[in-house]
Amino acid sequence: MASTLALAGCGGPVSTLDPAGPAADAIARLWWVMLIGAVALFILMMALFGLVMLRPGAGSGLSRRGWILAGGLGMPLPILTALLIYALIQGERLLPHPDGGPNGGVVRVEAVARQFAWEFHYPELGAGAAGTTLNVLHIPAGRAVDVTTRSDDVIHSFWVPRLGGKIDATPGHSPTIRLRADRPGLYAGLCAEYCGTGHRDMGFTVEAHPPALYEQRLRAALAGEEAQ
Amino acid sequence: MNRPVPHPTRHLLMIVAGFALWALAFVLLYGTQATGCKAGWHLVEMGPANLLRLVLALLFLLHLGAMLALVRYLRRQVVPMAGPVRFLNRVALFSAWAAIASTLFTFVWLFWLSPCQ
Repeated sequence: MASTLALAGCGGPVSTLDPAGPAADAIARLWWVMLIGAVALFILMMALFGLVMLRPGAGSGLSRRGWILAGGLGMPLPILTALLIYALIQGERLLPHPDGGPNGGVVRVEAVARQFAWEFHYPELGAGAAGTTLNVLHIPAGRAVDVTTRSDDVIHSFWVPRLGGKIDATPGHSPTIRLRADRPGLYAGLCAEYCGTGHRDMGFTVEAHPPALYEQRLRAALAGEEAQ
Repeated sequence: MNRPVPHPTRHLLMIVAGFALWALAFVLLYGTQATGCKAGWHLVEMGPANLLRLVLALLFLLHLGAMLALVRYLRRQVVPMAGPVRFLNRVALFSAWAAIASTLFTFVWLFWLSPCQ
């Protein structure tokens, strides 16, 4: 019962433990690796604690200096080094390198944050298709999408938990994050940096379309926004 | 002839000297990386690297050199000493070695990681 309740928290539209793309998948995997490592270390420490409580003197085969070196350096250093290298390799893979991704290069969009809404621009659509969508980001599924953020007022943070990590939207800066949705569908996004009284309602939706239909649906969405 | 005994405060300061150098390296490397990215130094190719990576590597090596000099100084100091001052100096020496290990562990990645993406 307790584990069912606990595991119920792993799902839902904004769960980082239910990844739907490679960036979020890498983050979720790192989290699981760290959790499993932490549990293993906790069990080891509790077992040692139990041993010395139940059988005093059980660890006397190793000198005091030996315990300090083994427990203080020998155990944590390899674990921390392995975790660090793993995290650095994963982090480097997630960066928006110019070489692009599979399935025909990178799609570029801009996310402009302001209190308390998100406006999305599509600079690659070309002339005659200028326009924005409000609180809905349209992307093609299966392709890398570079989202460049900026802000018109205070600091916000762009976050689609099932697709990737967070990136701040800061006035005067234009950082980029690379996302990819493996399958078409709707993905919930939110502002992850407290930005004022309307922060709670500053959510948005990412709509991932089948690649063949992406441009057609995006143009229809832009036309719909214009008509409103 | 007896040598003048240095004031104990100096030995206490020596305990934090290694990690003070580490902290200085951290601030300088972080600041230089941000400034260099903004100024586009990473786009200036220089042989197999770029200007930003070379500047960061130079800062890293300078700090490493300063820490090794500190270790050398403390090793020379510890020999003629005795009592609590010798103990303080030994702590400072181990602290300096720990700072060198931390510097390598924390900053050596600047030779490999993308600085500005």
